[in-house]
Amino acid sequence: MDNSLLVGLTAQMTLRRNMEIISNNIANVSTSGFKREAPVFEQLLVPVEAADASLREVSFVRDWGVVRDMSAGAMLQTGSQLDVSVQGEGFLVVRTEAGERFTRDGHLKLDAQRRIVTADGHPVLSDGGEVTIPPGESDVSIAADGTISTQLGAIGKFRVVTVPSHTLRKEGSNLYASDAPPSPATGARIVQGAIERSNVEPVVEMTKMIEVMRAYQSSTEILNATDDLIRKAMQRLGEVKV
Amino acid sequence: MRSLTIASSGMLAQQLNVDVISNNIANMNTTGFKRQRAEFQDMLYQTLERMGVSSSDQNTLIPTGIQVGSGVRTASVYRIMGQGNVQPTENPYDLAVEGRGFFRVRMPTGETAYTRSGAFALNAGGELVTADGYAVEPGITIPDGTVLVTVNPQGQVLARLAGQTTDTNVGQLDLAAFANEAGLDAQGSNLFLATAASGAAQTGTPGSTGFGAVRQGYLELSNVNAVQEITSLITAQRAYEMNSKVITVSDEMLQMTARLSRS
Repeated sequence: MDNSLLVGLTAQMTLRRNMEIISNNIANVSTSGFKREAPVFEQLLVPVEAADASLREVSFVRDWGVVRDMSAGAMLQTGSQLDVSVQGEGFLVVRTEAGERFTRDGHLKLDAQRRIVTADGHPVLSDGGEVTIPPGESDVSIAADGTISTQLGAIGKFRVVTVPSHTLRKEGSNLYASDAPPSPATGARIVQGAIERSNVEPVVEMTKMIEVMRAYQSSTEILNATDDLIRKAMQRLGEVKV
Repeated sequence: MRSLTIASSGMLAQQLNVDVISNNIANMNTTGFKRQRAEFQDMLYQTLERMGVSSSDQNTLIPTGIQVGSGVRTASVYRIMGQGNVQPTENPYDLAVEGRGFFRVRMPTGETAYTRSGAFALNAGGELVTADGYAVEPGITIPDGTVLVTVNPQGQVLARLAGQTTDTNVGQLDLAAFANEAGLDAQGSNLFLATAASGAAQTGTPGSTGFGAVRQGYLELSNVNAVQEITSLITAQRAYEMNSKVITVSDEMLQMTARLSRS
């Protein structure tokens, strides 16, 4: 009897987490370079005592991980000189206080030292480290292979790397961290004047949200029904006259 | 439930998005206006189960882990400096820049501001000024008795005085370019100030490498594209709606839980 309450409870806990992930996807529908996520559930078999062999296992549900859909988002032309997007598999490398981080959000700008930095001010790295646009040069162009040049010639080349996707973890601010060493990307192209949009499909997320709500509702029904059963059992047992 | 606050961060972001879009639409007919765009970032993630930790003593690893995000925040609202359409006006003091570069304007405070709006006029002293009466730098004064003023694409200002057959060069306009135009600080009245993010201004002759040419008798319209703005407005509105739906659903789920203890 208690097991059905616990099964309902595990279902509700995982559904809540699923709902949190869906709402984060929906909130980030306009975030550049955002990759949607989905939880993975697994059956958790727990042995119980029962006379009938077929009833000796109860299956609970457990969330086991989050998978990230790394497919490309739509390309948005902005025409801004320092907006770049990575086409194909690859990340730009950003230096933060905590070490190297990876991003697909190519909305870049110059800081006071004329370095190319992200919206948060973290320098974007080239083969030779940070990229500084020398004073007096203003016409920045970025080639498909990541080469940055001004009217006076090339300055550097953006590092575009791939990282084993299972080691990536999101850090917020459109940054990813990884413990695995990055390797140079082979199939990636840099497009200047464009930004990669979020790959969240609003329709899919809304449908999943409805599914979650209904599943939550039905697990609530299970809990209610079990509760009724326990209450009725107690009432009936109380009526027995000796 | 975390999804309530996540969705409210999404609603706030879309509200700002609509603010930016409405400012673009309001300035659709502003000379030299450059449209803006809101840029968003995801917020911190909570790692509930780390990826790469071992799931047994046989050295099996959890490949994905569980990370739950906490919503969205605005990273920046920046300006897109693409060329606007150029419209003929036949006014000799209307100047448009075709390509990169800003006109320099001396503010009453002594600072130099930059503008793409070349709707200039002459003040009482014959000086070339903006619609607000701020002097254009370098200062250009049209002498009395001028019958015809020509500004060539290289920015030379030529005046034909009454009774003369040749033009007199009365000044040279120059343009300012920035490494990161999106980093300019908008002051309103079509004026911008240089910031650390934009880099210092590089001045040059119009028409030289890296600078646009000056067109006399034309004005640069705003670069707002009505269709694009309306499409973004619809997208932003729908995204707002979806976030509010998330709040409704989370609320319903909480209600279901609350109803569990009805007896």
